[in-house]
Amino acid sequence: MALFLETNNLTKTFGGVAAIFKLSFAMGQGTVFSVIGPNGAGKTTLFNLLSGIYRPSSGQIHFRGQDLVGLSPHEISHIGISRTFQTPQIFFNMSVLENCLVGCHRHGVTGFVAAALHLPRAVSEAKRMREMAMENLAFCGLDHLADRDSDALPYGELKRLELARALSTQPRLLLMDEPAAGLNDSETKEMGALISRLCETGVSVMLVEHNMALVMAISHRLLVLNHGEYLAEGSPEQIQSNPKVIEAYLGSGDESDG
Amino acid sequence: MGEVFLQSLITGVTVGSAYALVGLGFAIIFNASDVVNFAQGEFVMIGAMSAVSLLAVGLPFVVAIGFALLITVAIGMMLEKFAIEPAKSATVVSTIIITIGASIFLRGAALLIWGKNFHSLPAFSGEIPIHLGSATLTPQSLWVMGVTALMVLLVRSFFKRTVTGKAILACSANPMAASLMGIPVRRMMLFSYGLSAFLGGVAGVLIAPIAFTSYDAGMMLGLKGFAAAILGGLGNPMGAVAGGVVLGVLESLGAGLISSGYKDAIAFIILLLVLFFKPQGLFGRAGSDRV
Repeated sequence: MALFLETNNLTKTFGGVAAIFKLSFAMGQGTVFSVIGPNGAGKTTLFNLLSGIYRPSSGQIHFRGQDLVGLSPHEISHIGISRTFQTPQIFFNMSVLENCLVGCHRHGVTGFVAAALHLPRAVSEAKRMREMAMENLAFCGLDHLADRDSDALPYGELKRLELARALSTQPRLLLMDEPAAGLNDSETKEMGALISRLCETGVSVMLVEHNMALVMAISHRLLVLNHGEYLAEGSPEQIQSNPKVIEAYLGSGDESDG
Repeated sequence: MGEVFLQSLITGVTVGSAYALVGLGFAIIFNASDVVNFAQGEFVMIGAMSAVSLLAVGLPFVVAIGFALLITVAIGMMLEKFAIEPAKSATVVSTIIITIGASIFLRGAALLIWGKNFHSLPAFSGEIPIHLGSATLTPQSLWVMGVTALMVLLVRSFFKRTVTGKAILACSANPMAASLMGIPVRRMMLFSYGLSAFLGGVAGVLIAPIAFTSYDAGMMLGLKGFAAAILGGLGNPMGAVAGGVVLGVLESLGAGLISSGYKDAIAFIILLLVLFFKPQGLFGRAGSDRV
């Protein structure tokens, strides 16, 4: 049986510097899988490799048995991987609902002419997409803001809008780059609850996050990177007591506080 | 005075419809990629000239026009595929300069193919003018206005109501996020150029029975269409349409009331005034960048 997501000796170099070096790991379906590591560990590079923005220098990525290397971002999105960004990348020229509708794009089948002429097939499809987008907005608690201009939303809501938009592509795997960055404590708790609920609905989540309380609370498994290399992998408890991880985060000296 | 006014209004709306279609083409490509495609006017010329040639080889009228539009769309897509796409890492300004180069190339190619002669198409449904009081309206004017209105409604509904329309808008807002949402950005760009070329070709075919066309006819029409798009607020398709009609009317009023020698000057004075005093256009949203 093919694994859900698996990388094998994955390497990405930038002009001789390896941002990711010979990384092999596997992620199980239906889990919240967090990637942690000190700054510069290669977490965002890993996301960019998985979503097709970067092409690996060498190594393989397999998602549900399919080789992802060489696919463009939109092809990877069609296979079922979506992502959110550290800083929300919203289409600011559109309303909240329209942002979500763009996410539905890949499920559309009707052509330009049918759509422009309001043929019944196009109308029912448009209605279905609207419902889907509204459902995702409701899931993220934004349905009451559907008709607002997206550039009028505060930061926390933009982060949830980006999540709703990513969900509209109906991903099997969602890559979330620092979903709690820039959020206050209560917003962070909400985001954590949202991610857990999301996982219960069957979407697997890969998380890069610096807020350790959040990571430890919602992750099933963790992968620790250091200088682009595999350092450790395990459950939150195993990672917290792993001496190698503690050393990477705190240094080998006797200073405390991470 | 009144009759001059009415006649100028009719002529103005007719010519303005052509500007509107060209302006709409500008707005569509601008919306998809932030690029001003200065080869837009050449699409008009290619549409008209191809129709003239195909008609001359003996094809039936409707077939000739159909093929002329196909040729225009094909050239629009080739422009994207072979001139714009290879330069995908270029800045917006460099890309705009590429489109200027492309327009010179297309004009030169047209000169080689069709020579310097002026050409014209027969009117779609006769030449018998309709009298409205003291002013006259040719049947071709009705075709121009009617088909333009239809095109505008279709394009508007496409961007307002369809997810593909939104996907094109998404490409301009954030190409990377768009591609991560599963939108094939290059294909959307190809589609935008094809659609803009189609609108340009339609304008060319519609206006050819009224205005003579020649290898360099696209230059002035392109600039007027650009003025229309600026007047309406670049990136606002319906603004471009309104801008086109307003420009056409002002131009022909100026020609009728002042002197026809100033016709072109009026369009560009308006363009300059808008750029000086209201650079976001009459209907454009003030530009705002979130930080």
